Amino acid sequence: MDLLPQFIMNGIIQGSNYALLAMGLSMTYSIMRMVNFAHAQLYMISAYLCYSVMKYWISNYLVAIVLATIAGAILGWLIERIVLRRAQRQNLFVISLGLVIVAQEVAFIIWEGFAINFSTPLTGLVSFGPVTLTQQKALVIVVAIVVELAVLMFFRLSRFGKAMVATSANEDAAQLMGINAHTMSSAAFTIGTLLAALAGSLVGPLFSLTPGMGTPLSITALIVIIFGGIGSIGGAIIGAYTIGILQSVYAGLASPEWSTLVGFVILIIMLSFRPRGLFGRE
Amino acid sequence: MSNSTLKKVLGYVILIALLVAVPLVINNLPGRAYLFHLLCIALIFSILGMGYNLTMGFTGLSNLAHISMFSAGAYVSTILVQRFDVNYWLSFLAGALSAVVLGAFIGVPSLRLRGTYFSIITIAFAQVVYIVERNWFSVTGGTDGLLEIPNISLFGIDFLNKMNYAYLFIVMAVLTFLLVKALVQSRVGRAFIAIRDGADLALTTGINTTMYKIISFLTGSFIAGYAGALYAPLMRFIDPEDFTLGVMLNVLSALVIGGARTFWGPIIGALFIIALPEVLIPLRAYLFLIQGILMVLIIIYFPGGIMGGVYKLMGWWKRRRSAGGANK
Amino acid sequence: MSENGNYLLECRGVTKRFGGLVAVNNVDFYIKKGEIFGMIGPNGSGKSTLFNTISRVYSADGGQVFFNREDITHVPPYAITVKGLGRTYQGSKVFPSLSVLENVIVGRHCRTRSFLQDAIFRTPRLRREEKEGREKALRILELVGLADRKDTRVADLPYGLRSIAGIAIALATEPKLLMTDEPAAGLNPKETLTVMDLLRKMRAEMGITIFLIEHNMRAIMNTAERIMVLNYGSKICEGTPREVSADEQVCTAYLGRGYRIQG
Ligand SMILES: Nc1ncnc2c1ncn2[C@@H]1O[C@H](COP(=O)(O)OP(=O)(O)OP(=O)(O)O)[C@@H](O)[C@H]1O
Ligand SMILES: [Mg+2]
Repeated sequence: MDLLPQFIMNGIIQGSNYALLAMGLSMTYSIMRMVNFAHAQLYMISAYLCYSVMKYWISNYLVAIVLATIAGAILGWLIERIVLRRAQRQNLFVISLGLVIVAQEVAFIIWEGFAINFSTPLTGLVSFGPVTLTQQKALVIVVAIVVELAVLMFFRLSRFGKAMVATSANEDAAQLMGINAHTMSSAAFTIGTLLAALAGSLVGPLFSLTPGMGTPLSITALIVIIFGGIGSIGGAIIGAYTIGILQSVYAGLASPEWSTLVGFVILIIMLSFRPRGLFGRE
Repeated sequence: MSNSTLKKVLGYVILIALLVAVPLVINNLPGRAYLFHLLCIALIFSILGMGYNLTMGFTGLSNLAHISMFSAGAYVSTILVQRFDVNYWLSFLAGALSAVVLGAFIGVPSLRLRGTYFSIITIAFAQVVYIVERNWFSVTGGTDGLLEIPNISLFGIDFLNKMNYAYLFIVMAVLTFLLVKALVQSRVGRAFIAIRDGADLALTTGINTTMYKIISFLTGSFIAGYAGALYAPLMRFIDPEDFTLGVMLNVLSALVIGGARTFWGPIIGALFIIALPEVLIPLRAYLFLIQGILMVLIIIYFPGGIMGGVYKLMGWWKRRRSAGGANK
Repeated sequence: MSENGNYLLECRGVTKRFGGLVAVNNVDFYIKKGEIFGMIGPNGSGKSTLFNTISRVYSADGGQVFFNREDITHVPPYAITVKGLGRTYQGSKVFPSLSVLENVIVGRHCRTRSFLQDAIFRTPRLRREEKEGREKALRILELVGLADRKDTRVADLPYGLRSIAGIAIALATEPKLLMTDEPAAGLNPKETLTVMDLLRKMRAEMGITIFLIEHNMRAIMNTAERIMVLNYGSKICEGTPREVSADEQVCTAYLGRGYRIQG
């Protein structure tokens, strides 16, 4: 039996997850010049929120996704307004490290440290040729594709999206054209956290929930955007699937323990030899 | 002798008396084994923080692989003692040197990058080291770690009594303090600060910034390395979970809270994170949260941390007194 | 090799590009020992970029730079400083967290030798250098008129004095040529005069050759003996202040952007 198609499919699921995270991280970097190491902390918080909503309030999974995603976006908006806007740019990264601690501890206090298994009603199986996957996994793949297209269109077609692209290319010039920098960073951060929160409520059920689940994902999302070219949304998407598939195939065929190394080795090589990434300019 | 030098000498005498007295006092308290353990941990984290302050604080390099050099010191010294029966003090040196070698391996390629890129690549290297420590079972014991690390002995004195550890660590902390202070207040240290304050200006002022960044990074690594070599026999047991990114963040936030770029900051920071959970027992569950919030607030509103605040107050007090004196 | 031994600095065809933008385009000029050489040009004409290329903060995309008849096009920036080329930055870069005195002592870095072992063991060399360094730094502060502010953190200095602190740092590197980028920007007329007097004094008393960028026309016309004009990265004119202000091309370059040249 050939397992390769299954490994690739797992890689695509991971890649969908990474793509949802990396697009937001990339936006925050382009607009605010902030590498947000706490990015996946909102993924973690939303996954927990989604779980709690279903357990204690409304057991409809779709409603829970929507609520958790909105809650995550509001949290992101608040963080930008209350914390980040007051900080100097060169300190944003270290501040995000502080936010990692804060988010993890909050989760620890509310949900405690034990791994929680979060099951959804989407347990039925779907088959695509040689591979079989649960409806949950299929949902992740489909939603990711839809969101990726929506984000790409948003930057190409909408006025607001174009204003964001202009700001990321040249902030001063954009401000001269009447674009408000505060609005832009607020929007970028909120959209970014919204995508992270959506990813959390969708992908969370595939793994067990722990307060520490965010950090490795933040790191991988960073690897992805550096691989794809920091600031390039298209690069982030391609990078996400590439790294997801590489990791999953390596884990399946060679060794699962060492598979996490793949990402770091890619990152170190990229940063050492081509810091602007595969698709980055200048 | 002028009044101010007299005050300084008096200050040092009091400080030395305190350092000698504290372990003696603890020795007569109930639960002294635990208290000594806490004191020793606080001292180790002070030493680790002082090394970190050199790179992160004075040179402005946001290095997030400092913990890897700490782990190198711990693992290498322990492996030499356990597997190869090497004398502890030789292993101690080897541990510190291995941290310098690892520091060179990580620092030389990373230091070509600036700002956040540098931080990110150091995170990646730190993760590689962590994964290797977890999975290279035959050498590091994998997730089981290294057990039954023997006690230190020096001149035939066995360190079964924790008071001896306390004195040893106090001596090491004082030496580290003096080392950092001597460096920072010399030509080399001024070059570090110049790099932090303005890398381009430093470069055209005739400072070989790449070389001095590497020197700073390696000196910090060296200090982290011997801190690690001290940590292992104290704990009697090490595993990769002692050296995670989470621990790194703890060290970072301790430095930020205590006061980066001040000589006492790392010590105050270490005491803060070790002592507070013991003092505020009812708040224990929230302390790390408070630590994170404090870190964020301090970076935004009060970059000097606790020691920065103390120096500000002292300056204000001096100015007030001299103003008062002038009025009389 | 440069033919003329009298040239302290010579640029041949120096070019610097940023992506598609040619910020400095094939610029040739020379500076003689002991002169005050000025450079003017509209905003964004590439003056600071030329400075950065000469001092190797940027590497040139074309051309050669000679200092003291030696090709320094590929010498690292700190080594250029050691050879005697000092500079200040537009906007007066200093080391803000250090005191005025310490800033100048940092400037002496390349003229001192003490290293790790000296710092750890407080060797005689370290003590001698620290003592000498303080004395020399104090003398420089006397010269530039900052001696009474020596213990102030530079970040706390008023803007006008920060520019002078920037010059003092460069002076401490013991330069043969001092390149200074808009030292009078943001200063009032009186402070501007002080800075220009200081530049002349440095030339007279210490024999330092000066390369000066300045937007204040009156100041540069009265200070520099020769001036070159940059426009869109290219040199469009060079000569005495009188010749330059009479040049038609120069006036167009400036008038086109709302400038007026007056001596
Ligand atoms: N690091 C850089 N990256 C990209 N473009 C740059 C960079 N530095 C300068 N430029 C561009 O190069 C051109 C020349 O800039 P430069 O700062 O040298 O002008 P200048 O003559 O010093 O102007 P000013 O009188 O305002 O100081 C400008 O168009 C500027 O936008
Ligand atoms: Mg300029």
